Amino acid sequence: MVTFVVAISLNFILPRLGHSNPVDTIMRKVHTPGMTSKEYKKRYEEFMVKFGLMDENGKKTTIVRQFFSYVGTTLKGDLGVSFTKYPKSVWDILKTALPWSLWLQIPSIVIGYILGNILGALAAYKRGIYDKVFYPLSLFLMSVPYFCLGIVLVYIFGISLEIFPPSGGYAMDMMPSFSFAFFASVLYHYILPFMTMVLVFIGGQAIGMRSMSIYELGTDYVKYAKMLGIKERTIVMYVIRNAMLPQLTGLALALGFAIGGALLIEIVFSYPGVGLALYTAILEMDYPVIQAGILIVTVSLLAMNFIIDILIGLLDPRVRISHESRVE
Amino acid sequence: MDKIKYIATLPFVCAVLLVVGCGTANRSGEITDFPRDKTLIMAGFVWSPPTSFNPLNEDPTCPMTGDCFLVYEPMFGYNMLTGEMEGILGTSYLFSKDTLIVQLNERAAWHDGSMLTSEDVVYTFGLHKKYNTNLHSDCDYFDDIKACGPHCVKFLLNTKKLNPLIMQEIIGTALIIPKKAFYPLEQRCIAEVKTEKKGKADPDDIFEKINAFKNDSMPLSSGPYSLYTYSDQKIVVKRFDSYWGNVLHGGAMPKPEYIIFPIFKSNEAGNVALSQGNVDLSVNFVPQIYNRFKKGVGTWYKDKPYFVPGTIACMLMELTKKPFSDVHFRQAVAHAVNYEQIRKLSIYGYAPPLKPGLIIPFGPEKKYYNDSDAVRYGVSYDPGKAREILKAAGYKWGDDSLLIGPDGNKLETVYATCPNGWTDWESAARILVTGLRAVGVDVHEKFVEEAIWWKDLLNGNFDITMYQTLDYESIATPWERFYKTMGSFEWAPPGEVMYIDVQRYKNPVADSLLLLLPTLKDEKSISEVYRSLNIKFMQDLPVVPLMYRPWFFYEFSKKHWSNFPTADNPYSPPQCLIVGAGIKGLWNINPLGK
Repeated sequence: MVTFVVAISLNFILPRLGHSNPVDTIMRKVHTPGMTSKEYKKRYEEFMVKFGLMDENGKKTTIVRQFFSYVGTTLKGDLGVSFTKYPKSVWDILKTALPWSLWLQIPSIVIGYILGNILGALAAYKRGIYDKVFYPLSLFLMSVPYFCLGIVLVYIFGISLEIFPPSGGYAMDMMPSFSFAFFASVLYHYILPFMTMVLVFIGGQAIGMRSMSIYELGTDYVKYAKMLGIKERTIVMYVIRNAMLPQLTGLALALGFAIGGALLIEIVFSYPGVGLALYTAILEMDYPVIQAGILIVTVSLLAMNFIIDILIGLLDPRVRISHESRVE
Repeated sequence: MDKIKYIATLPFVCAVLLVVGCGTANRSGEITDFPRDKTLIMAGFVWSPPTSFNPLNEDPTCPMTGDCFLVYEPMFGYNMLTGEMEGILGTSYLFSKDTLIVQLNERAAWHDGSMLTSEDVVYTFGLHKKYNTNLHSDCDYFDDIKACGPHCVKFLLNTKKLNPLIMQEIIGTALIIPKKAFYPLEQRCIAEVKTEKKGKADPDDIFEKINAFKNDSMPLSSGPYSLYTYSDQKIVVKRFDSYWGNVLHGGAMPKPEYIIFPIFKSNEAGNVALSQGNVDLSVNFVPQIYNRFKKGVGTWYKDKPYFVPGTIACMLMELTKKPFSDVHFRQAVAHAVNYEQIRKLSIYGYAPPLKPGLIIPFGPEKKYYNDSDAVRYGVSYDPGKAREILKAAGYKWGDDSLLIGPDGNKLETVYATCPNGWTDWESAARILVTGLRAVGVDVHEKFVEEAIWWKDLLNGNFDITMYQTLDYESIATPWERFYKTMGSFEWAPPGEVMYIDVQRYKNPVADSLLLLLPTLKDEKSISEVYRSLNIKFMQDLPVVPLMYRPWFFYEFSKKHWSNFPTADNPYSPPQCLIVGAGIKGLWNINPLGK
């Protein structure tokens, strides 16, 4: 709860610390050849009043008043109206962007998590040449910022080789529809941003899993299982199960990094998700969209962390038992 | 296992369905996969998701803007090559002492088949005059507009503000809207305001309601295309096969059946798409365009300068501040800037060499340019001369090689600003900073967000900045360029907004010449006044021109379409096939497809 309150407060304050405000951006766009200074000033004030940044007497609204107005409307579930895309509502902007972000993030996080853990466990178990190649590769992938890898992939596969489209969510000569051609186009445009997300995520997860698995492989129960002649595959599964629990905690921490990275990937690939909408809003100082976008990201991140905490409790008997003993 | 597979694929399917469901405003049954050989894709016209297709809106989305004539049309379109107005809804116009009479094309019709008449034109201008639209200020140049027949309108000019140049610009940009569609809307808005405000109907309140009308559901229009569909990623217009104006093109229809305006988030994304042939026409700044020629990209000229010069990017100094208020200082810094380096490095040679003055010595303005005046009064890159001028004006150099003013005080550190990310301007700013530092000015470049730069520019909150005082061409150039650079009609001290003459220059002689020029009729007098204005400009240097730039960076890809207008095949001006007289290009390009 404290995290949430701090997040939405910062979310409100940070965009307003700039030298400019959204009306400056709007006025840059609406200027016309014949406009006079007098008319410019009149329009400027009209926009300021319209967006609650000034009252009808020409007095600027204080930041405290704006904050309480923002909290009040947010608590009612009203995300407001975009300033720079007026009269479009913030929800209208985000509801078109959100599915694209989910479509990019959920599969890549899930697949990256599963593959990363399997590959990490295998590296720990097999060792040898497999580990010697895989370990530095994973370290490299883990260390590369999402947007850097994205730019490299765009340059190689999108611009130089022209194998995959370098930007967009679907082909330029299409509109969304329930057709095979559209789905194929969406998938085709999905490959590069998805690969960027997955590769970096695999790197991070694999390194963690490798370390945990090496630790687990040295434990008594593994040695005992080996002595009993239990199948190698079964032992690996035991190792994975035990090493997974700290990895699950690690996932909670990695999610923030992954979601932040996905937002940047959307900008690199001009992928039409929340990241791109937020980027545009930040450039335009569109306070309501910035606030709502970050609010959605914050809430979903907190919710996912909460779910992971519950999952750890359910999956790890040690946590469950310690909780039960405290209750007693 | 099958169940697991099903559950695993479910989120993917849901996401795709959501994307499809939320991502578009298209109607059922319409085409969503546009045949490439019938579709023209254009980059650089739309930069953010559409919010309004209402041509009366303060910020309508292309193609409803005043320079795009696809859906709604004005009476005339400007041709940047000839400098003339070409008929669209109008056929001819005639000025008298206090009137402007425009004859409309008798064939002009709306898409529902009804005739487009003087009633629609009178109603359109009536709305602009009544309400605070983008053309509201321009309507001060006429007192009234009346129909003088079903296909004739008469503007009663404001004799206190007589300006035939602006009047011609207005009839070349005001999109005519159908009275039958907008009158009921206006009446409904008036009634709503009266109900809300207890009988009072303030025009600003009424216009706020009219302004909110999105006009995105099959709007009635007269142009060769109509709005077909749109999403947050693109806008599509579809050819109207029975367009009345096809008769002006021998009965043929425009070649592209669909025109798509994708919304790119960066210049680079659009530039890559152009190189790959996914975009057919672009107006973005493309660095080193010549490197893309081998990929089938073309420009107006095959060789340098590739584009037609139409505007001038300038260095502005805030003239109420010292030392910029000193004309000697301005003359000196103008000699310190390496213009050729800017031309070659900042804009890759996309313009001819800069000549002194505020008149572009090419195209329609060439006839007003006087070479001997340029030699006599103009400046050129000469750091030695810059130092001489400064020395003669009483400036000295300190031990640190920085300038000390005539009053004995060291000149303060100043900043040269320009919008962040405008790479050609940033590069030019760096070059001018290097030049100014070389003669002792303590100046540094500072790149700021566009909105901040714009706010500071209008409020006079800058030392040195980059700006184009006029960023388009029209029938009123070069007068309008002089007016916006030297006209002190709205002069206000720094801190208050100035919309023209943002560097705050004041000269009564220039003001009187600017008022006189639009009223003149004979070419000799016009040339003389332009000459006087240009001499005054070169002597006072209210701004320092840095480089010519094209009105449009007109670039095309030959992958899907051919026969784009070029300097070798100039059947249409390089106005991107949708602006002004350039629209006739749509009837002449050819698909390469099937």
